[in-house]
This record gives sequence, C-alpha cells and structure tokens, in this order.
Amino acid sequence: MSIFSPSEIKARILVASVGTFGAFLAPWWVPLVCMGVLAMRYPAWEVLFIGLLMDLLWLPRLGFEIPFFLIGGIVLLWICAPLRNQFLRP
Amino acid sequence: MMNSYRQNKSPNKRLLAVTALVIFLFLLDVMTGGSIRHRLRGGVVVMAGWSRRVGQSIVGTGLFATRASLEVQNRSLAEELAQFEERAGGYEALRAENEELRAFVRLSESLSSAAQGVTAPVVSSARTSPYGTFLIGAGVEEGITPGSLVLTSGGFVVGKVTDVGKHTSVVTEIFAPGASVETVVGGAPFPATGSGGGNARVKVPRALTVKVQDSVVAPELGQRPVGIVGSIASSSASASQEVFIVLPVNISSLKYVYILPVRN
Repeated sequence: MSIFSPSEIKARILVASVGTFGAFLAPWWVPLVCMGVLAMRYPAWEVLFIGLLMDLLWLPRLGFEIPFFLIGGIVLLWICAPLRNQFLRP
Repeated sequence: MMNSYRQNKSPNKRLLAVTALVIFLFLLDVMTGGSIRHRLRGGVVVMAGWSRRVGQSIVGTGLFATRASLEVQNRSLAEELAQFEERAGGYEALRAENEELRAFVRLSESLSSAAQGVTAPVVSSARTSPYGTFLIGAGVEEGITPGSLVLTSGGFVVGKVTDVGKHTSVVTEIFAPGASVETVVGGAPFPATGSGGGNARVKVPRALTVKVQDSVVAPELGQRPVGIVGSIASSSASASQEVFIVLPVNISSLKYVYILPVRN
C-alpha cells in the first residue's frame, strides 16, 4: 500500500497528533515513540517539529544545553531516509 | 527514469527545507531570548487546565464504574448520588488544596522576613520532561528570578528556577538525571548524583555511620534539606557503601511549591 493512501495519511496524522499533544502532557517517551514510528514509516517533517517542541518546552536553559530531541529528530529522519527509499512505495 | 528520479528527490528536498527551518526557529528563539518558547509554555498552562477539567468531568460521569454496579443503581438515585459524589469530590479536592496551602503558610512563617517568597502552582508533570524539569505558573510578573530555590511544603529543596517567562518558569530538579550536588550525609560532605524524580545516590566510606531516614542537606543551598536517606546498600567486600537519597514526597504529586528568591 502506498504511504500516500488515505488510510496511511490518517495514521500519520494520528501519530503526529499524539506526539504533538504528548509533548505537552504525556510522559517524554510518548513523543519519542511517535517520532520513531513517523521517521521509520514516512518522510515525515512532523518528527522535526515534535523534537523542536520538546526542546523548547522542557530544556532548562536554552542555548546552554544540548537539544537532544531536536538533534535526535534530525538524525532519526535522515538515518531512516535510505531505508524508506528502499522499502516504501511513494 | 527522469520521473522516478524526481519522485525520489522531491521529499528529500522538502525534508531538507524543513530541517533548515526548524534549526532556524531554534536559533531564532535562542537569539530573541525565548520569544517562541515562552508562548509555547503558556500553552502548557492552558492544556494542563483543560486536561484537569476533562479528567474531573470523566470521573464525575462515572464512566469507569463497573457495569454491574450501574445496573443495580436506580436512575434517579444514581443522579442524586452523582451530585453528592461530585460535591464530596470537590470538597475533598478543596480540603487537600487548603491543607497544602496551610503548610506553605507555616513554611513562610518559619522563614525569616528577609527570605519571604512566593507560592506557585506546578503546571506540568515531572514525568513529561526528559531533562528533569517542570513548569510552574509564576514568572517575572510574580517576582520570580533565575536561580531562585524551589521548596516543598516541608521545606525540602526540589529544584532551582533556570528559565523565567512572563507567567511561567522552568524549574530544574536538584536531582535531575546526571546532575551532581554536594551533600552532607552522616556529617561528611559527598557529591550526590541525581537520577531524576527526586532520587539520588552517593558513595560513602563503609566506616561512616549512616541510618535510614537521616536528613541530607546541601551546603551550596544554604544548608537546606534536599532529601532523606531512603536505603543503604553495602557489601563486606567493598570499602564503600552506596546511600540512596529520596525526597519524602513524590515529586510528580506536587501541586504547589514555594519559591525562595535569590538575594544578590
């Protein structure tokens, strides 16, 4: 099934929404899991925004601490890119 | 061939653009002193309020009550009961809140007049942050400054204010994962390593007498207590023993904290 089929798009929106709301209210591993799922299944820019959101909300002193979620999101998205290109049909 | 090449390259180009945008937004926030993050943290306060109200109304509807018990209840009696339960629940919540605020009044009275602070609500769960931080609903407008100490109603230091917005502040736990604090255990100073959730561990010589429930203070925080000895792990084969420090209250259950301003 194509990753651009309606059901896949719905699943992507659902996971991205859980990740986004999870950044505000859920334990930190919920957005992390959502980022992982999105990065593995879709070329999802949402991963980067969830990572950015986590760091903006929870980093103690911005500019002085390492933004692990943002860096993790970038790494995750680009590391998974060859895998997605290999196995997923656009 | 050309078509296939375009199909493969287009998403990557989009991702590259979004990656650049996200890095730009992060840098923009750092350079503007937090214009984006302070707005987002305001959103946490609003969402926390919503989720609390939704949770209370779900509990109020009795949605999670067992089916058998619901069948037994007469409809009119159930409605009446629900009203009483709601009132009792509301009373119980107010009583607990009142109790907690009373403890803060006692704490405030016990402190010298030069060290008077502000009571602030905790607006996020400590479990939500991966960095050992949580948000409080008070900021610059309420007189909060970076470096202020954050105390529980029992007078234990739980953290320090590290970032201040207009009406919200970020508190970094004293025992955030990986954080190191100089503590006095059994009368001698040792560095304690935080493991999050108000817990820390410290290695002390086996000859040192340490008892469970002993108070642990931090000289760098004005000799204030930071926890108690929760347990001790020692082995006859080792020259040292490991002391586990815990906060007497669950950090996730804190509803209010007391902010002690820094005096320069």
